[in-house]
Amino acid sequence: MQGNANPAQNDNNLQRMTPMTTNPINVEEIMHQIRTEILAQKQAQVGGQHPAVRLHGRRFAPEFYEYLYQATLSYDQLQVQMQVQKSAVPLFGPLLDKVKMALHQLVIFYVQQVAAQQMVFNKQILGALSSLSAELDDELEQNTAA
Amino acid sequence: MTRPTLAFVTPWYGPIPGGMEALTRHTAEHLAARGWPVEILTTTIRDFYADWSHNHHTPGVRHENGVLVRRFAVQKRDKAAFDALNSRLMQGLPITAAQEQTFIHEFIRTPDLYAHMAQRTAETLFFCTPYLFPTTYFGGQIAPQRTIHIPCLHDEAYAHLQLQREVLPPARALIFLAQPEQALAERLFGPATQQTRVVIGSGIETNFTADPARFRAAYNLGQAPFLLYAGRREPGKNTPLLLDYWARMVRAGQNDGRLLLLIGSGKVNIPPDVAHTVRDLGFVPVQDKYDAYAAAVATCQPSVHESFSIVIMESWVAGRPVLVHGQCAVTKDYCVQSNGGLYFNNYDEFVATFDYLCAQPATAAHMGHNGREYVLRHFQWDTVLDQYEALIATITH
Repeated sequence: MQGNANPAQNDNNLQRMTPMTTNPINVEEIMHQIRTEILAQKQAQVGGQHPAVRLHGRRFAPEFYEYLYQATLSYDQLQVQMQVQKSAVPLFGPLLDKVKMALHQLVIFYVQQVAAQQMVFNKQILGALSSLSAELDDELEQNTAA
Repeated sequence: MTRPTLAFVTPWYGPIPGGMEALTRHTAEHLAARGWPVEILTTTIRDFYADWSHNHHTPGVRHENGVLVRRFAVQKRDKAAFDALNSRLMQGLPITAAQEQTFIHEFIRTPDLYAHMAQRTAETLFFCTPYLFPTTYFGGQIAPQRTIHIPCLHDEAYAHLQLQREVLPPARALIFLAQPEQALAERLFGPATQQTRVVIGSGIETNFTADPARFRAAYNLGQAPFLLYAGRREPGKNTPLLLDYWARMVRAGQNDGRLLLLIGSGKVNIPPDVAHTVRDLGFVPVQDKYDAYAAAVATCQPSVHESFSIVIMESWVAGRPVLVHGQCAVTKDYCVQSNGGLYFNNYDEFVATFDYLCAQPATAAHMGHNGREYVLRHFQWDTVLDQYEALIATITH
């Protein structure tokens, strides 16, 4: 299930972002804006079914939030592509190719079933991690404020 | 005190493709132009792509662009044994200590080179580059306290071999091309104790002009915005990934009349259904390459194994931003440090960052300006050579 962002929507979102022509440019801030938009588009595409992750927080190291973000974009990308090398055998080559294709398709059929289960598991784990980190971040914020 | 001879020890040498090759040649020539006695100690192998047991050049001494080049013959090797172990390493599989020795012994055999080095240790400072090659492994053990490595380290299987720990930490100094490379060395070898470690980078040609209109006219591009890829086209440089992302973007209707422009050598497989959005120019004259940088929305460097990247530096000198792979610590760090470009870790980010640069031309131009300032501040030849000379002074006094 690859991302399939609407191009028109994408352009509009980009134009809404603050153009930084006179202020000093901060690449990490721009990347943050871009990532926020990507997550918003993902959520919009699946009707809010994507696990909601925070792009940054204070409770954990920056790498933690980076991993969460990357996992959000990749947890459902488990398609298996057919990769059959064409046979160089004369005369029987096309027949061999057909047999190989059929065998590969059979394997892919079963692998896709495992992939679908893995996707559900990934989503649950990601959701749990996101909730946990959000709660710990909120707790830290409250303690700091107090 | 007489100046030492600066001898660059490298597996091949000449006007041949490759970032490390260009770095060695240009650094040697610029140091020679400053009056240093500079030598190249190398083999007779043509380049990386050649047969490493074939004496392409004649062994002997000749002068090339003000630099004395000594070439030493290579001997036959057990290519099958080397290939088998190299294949394991490329797949991330472990090899034993004994296999590491087989790997390095059957890589390139050039004993005359090491015999020559052993006779010249008193008056010479050796600069071995890059890491991993036998010229560095065997050459670096001859006089570690007279040896400076320019390792061009990457976080790859080869860097984790015991072979590197035997040679790099005992050397007098290590020169890095970027901060993340130094950080990798600290992770691999621990902090420096008796060794000088310094990030210098590489000198870059900054005195060129670039004319976007000239390029658009010469290649009949009209006003179509384009993303540029310049360099070798091969899996190691991640060009298949760039083409894959580009094809997905076109198929999803997201390219919006934009083009992907490819410059450089190597075979490239352009999917037929998106071929109308890709222009493969192959080799172009160097001025056209500079003009292409200036005409592009951005230059994309998708490689995850760069220790410097001349391409992104040239793009910045031409005043245009870059788009790099976020998993390459070095190029990402350059973008963040300079605020001269964006990075992507996946397809969604590739599309979004490219869209951003197209939709925000003023910001893109500002990034290009930042990148140019960064290169002028750090990588002009005078700046780089001053640092080399400071390091040499530290070591020899």
